[in-house]
Amino acid sequence: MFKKLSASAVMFGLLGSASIANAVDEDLGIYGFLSVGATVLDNENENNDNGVTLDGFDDEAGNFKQDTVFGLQITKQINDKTSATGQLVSRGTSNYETESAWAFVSYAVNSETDVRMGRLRIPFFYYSEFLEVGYAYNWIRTPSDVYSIPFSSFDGLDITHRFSVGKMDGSIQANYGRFTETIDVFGSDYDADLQNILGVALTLNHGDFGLRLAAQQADITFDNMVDADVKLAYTDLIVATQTGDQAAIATAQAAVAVASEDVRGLDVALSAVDAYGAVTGNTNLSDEFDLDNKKANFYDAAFTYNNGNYGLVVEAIQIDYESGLLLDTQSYLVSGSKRFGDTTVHATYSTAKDELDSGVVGQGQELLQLEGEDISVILGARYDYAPGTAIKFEIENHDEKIHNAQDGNSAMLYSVAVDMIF
Amino acid sequence: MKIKKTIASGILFATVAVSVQAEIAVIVSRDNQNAKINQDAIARIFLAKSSSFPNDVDAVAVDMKKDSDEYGEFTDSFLDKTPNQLATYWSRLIFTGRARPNKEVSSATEMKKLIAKNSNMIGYIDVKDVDTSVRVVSKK
Repeated sequence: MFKKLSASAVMFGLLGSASIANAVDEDLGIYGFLSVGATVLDNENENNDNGVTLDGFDDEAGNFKQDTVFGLQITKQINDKTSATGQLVSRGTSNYETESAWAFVSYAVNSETDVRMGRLRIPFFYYSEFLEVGYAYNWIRTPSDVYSIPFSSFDGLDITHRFSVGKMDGSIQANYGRFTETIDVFGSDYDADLQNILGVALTLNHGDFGLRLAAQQADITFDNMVDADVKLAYTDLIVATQTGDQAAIATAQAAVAVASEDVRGLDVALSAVDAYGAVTGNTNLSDEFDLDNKKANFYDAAFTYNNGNYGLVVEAIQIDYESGLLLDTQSYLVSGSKRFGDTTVHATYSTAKDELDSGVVGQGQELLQLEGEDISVILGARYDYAPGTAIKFEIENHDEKIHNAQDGNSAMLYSVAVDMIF
Repeated sequence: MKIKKTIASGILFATVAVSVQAEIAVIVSRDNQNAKINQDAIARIFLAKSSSFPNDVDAVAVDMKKDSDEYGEFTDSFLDKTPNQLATYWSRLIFTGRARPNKEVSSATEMKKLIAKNSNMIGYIDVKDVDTSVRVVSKK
């Protein structure tokens, strides 16, 4: 399955001698993964333009592109202690543009300690490091209530130290680096600069039980800004709301809609907050809401159990943002599975809830109506129909309890996918 | 239990006859200093959790081809996992650059040749293929 190119070439060649295979093979490994899928979204409220958008699926026609991911990895052993790994990933979600998900040189300080430098994955979540390798887990995609961070890689270094205490295996991993890239937030692009990405992840395994604790922090800077026209329109709206003049409110609301039309969501939000601060005498309020070197803290705890037949994963996350523009979030998932021969059935409950800050920042957040609360239930089956190939079916009910601080909608998502490794 | 697993692997590997499972011998070079190696230590080496023998000497695991009878029987008896579960396990290690797959050979003859002359290697064959060129450290 994980064929080594030169090795197999030699082995199936005329010689087939192990000693010759030794001389050529070993150094270069080429591995790949591929996922293809088809999905139908069924919104509960069919006439609502603001229907649920789930995992990027936003219309009810069959979708064949969203779950498609192709990855190719090359690993070259340079010497006993040093190897180089590159992994190129092409996703249907980004129009098959190819990206380097991993590109690093690994150096073995000793048999327990590795240092890696280059482009790496931020080890946020339990599944972070193999997020795109659908074959590596039971779901078609990781639950979006919890796995909701819009970036996954960074450039920097990490150090992993493995240890064992009695029958317990463990590893501790520390990372430091930076991420600068254009990222998509709520459908608009922002130039993001995440500095001082610093984190640690501790993993412990004992028999069928596993525990993972992780923390990450970063200083976030986005190129988001106040738009003068939007700010002016919001100022009129806030003043009109205070006076209670219904006609003026309606006019101002229309003006806000027009002014906001081509402005990115986070810019609209920042402009609204700036207007609110100016009207209420909190002139520094927008400083609390901008994304100019603002801290973000991420905490993750995961518990896993798998005895080969029954499996359980529980993962809980807390994200705290210094900027008022991004709401603090708590989320968790509970997923159970049972294997019947080559088929594994699984059920997952996940939920995410935003929290408002206290004081005037909280008031600003309330004005922006960003608050959300989501609950999802996923039922699925994975059938390993050949080694290295799995077929998956899933039904997901996604309920937006609260969406933009108002009652939301719910939707069903039906998916089928094939995941392969080679 | 055994019968059920045999049927499961029968689906995977058409070549496996529905019969009694063959016994597997885990083998090392005659130069290897480890007299016996317990199942836990063997599993740790083959699952890339450990890169050394119990006596702290470097260890390199060698697998039989994944569609061989020996592979299915070894993973069942010594690793307590199905080939599918192992493929998932390895995908997590390989695509994160944490480990590279074990070296693979395609016959017992090739396995014995390789093990005999590399004191840091550990492999396995059907017990009926054992000869004096290698030493058995565990049987199951």
